[in-house]
Amino acid sequence: MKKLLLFATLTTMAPAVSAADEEEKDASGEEAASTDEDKGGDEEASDAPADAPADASAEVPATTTEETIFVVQGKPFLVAGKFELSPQLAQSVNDSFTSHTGLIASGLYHLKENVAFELTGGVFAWWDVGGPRLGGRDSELTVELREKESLAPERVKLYQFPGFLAADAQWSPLYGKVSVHDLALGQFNLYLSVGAGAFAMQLESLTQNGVQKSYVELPSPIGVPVTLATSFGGGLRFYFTDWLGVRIEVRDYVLPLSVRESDVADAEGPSFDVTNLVLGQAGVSFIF
Amino acid sequence: MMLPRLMCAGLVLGCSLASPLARAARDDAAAAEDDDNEGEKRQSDAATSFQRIEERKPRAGTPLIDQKLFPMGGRFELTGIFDYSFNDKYVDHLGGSGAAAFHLFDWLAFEGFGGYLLGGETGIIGNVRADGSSAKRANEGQECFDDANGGNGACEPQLPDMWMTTWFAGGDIQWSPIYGKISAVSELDLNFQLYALAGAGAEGITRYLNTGGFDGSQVRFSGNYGLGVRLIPWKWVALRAELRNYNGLNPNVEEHNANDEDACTSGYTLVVGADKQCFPDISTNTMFQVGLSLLL
Repeated sequence: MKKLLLFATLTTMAPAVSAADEEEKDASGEEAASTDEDKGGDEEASDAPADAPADASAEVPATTTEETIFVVQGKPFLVAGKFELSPQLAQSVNDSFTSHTGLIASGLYHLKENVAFELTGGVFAWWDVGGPRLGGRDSELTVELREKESLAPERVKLYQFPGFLAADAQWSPLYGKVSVHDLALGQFNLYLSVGAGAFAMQLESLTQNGVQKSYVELPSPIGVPVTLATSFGGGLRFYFTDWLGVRIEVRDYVLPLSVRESDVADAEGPSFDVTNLVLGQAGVSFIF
Repeated sequence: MMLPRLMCAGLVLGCSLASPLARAARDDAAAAEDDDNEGEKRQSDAATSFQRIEERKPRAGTPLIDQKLFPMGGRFELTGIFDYSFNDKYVDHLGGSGAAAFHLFDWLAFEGFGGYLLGGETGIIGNVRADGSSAKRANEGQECFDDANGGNGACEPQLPDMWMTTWFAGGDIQWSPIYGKISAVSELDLNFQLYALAGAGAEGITRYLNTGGFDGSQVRFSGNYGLGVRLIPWKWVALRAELRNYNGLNPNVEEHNANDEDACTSGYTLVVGADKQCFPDISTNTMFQVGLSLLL
């Protein structure tokens, strides 16, 4: 009877023990697989240290075994949280009656990869028969109309700008990668900017001696005649190392201007204008 | 004695059979649970697998651009182009052209082009013709260009760059040092080339006259240079955008002052500083050109 009961007990328990073994095996197998996935996922996604404890890696939530391949995989140079200093050459590109050539220095802080804030200062200068001087110059059209046809535009259209200070916010909706002749590789982003600033102003006198420029004395509460401006523009930034890049940009500064007879001694009448000073800018960028 | 043995045998048989059945039932339940979990996991994966991982670094050894998706070397390109002049001084243009190019390498192409332009004078010239010193001379009956020497006496504006282009044809070399790709809406594979070009050609030119007609058409040789971008969204199609400058030498500007004309017979005079100098009339025609290309 005892033998019969023992046989019955063993027969009954055998499948249960077998099932428990298989469950343990499955569980351990899943755990092993899960650990492998986590490890693989970490290596792919976050560059976790290889010597990290297994428990730590097990705590990292599994992302996925499926990897999305983006058109542009990864950015080799990240700029979020970095500063950028950028000296640039600037040339006005919509010269109708005046033209401006100058140097610009910009300082940026990249709040995120695609958002940055910028402070910009610039000076415009020209070298003519009277030697180097600050400010813009009359365009070819203005000179030709004045000399050959005795015509001149409204006085307000002849303002020149020796320098400016501005600030703007930049947003980069597009980025990509470039290969330069299959030799150098880099990344670029296209950015849009909007901001505001202040421009110093000068206005040439109607009578000139042909050599040294003379200017009208303009009223100003701060000593330098200035006008406020808003700006918008866009450009491309190329990064070829984690500290060096180049940038090209077009920016439109919108300036409200006026010539009043009470302010300008040789004014022939009042004139008002909203001028678009469109600057083409190109320079290098130092990231740190 | 027989009954207990039968009961025991029945118990053994029952347990033996019941155990696998019970396990099978549990397995089924576990499998169903696994299926549910798998479904949830798939949903979870679907939600997470396409989430962008913020600015991760590439894996070591990953090349920036694995390969050029649309290599250009050895391919022909036929392009229809819309031409629009901008930053115009005295004349403006609008027109269309066509171009055929052969890309010798990925980075080098030779192109031939030709097209027609419709020209016109800018608003400034309207003011000049109405109020300029040339118009006043004509209105007051004063001598104008070459009047004293039996010339035509035309009081056209004494300005350079007054000639308009009616047709143009030529060739250029394109150098494309930069090939890249853009992440546009993340999934669209937009490849592009940036290129510089330089070339030469010929243009038919004419100009408006005070009489309301056109001057006789002439041909001038011109050089051109510019920058462009070629977007290649598909293997057989590309979009092009270019800024191209055409420079050529115009005929003499007819000056009304006989001394100025004598001093400068192929160009125009201008006072620079305290001196009057003679400059050649070099036209500057800056065109914005947008085209759709068929790549063969």
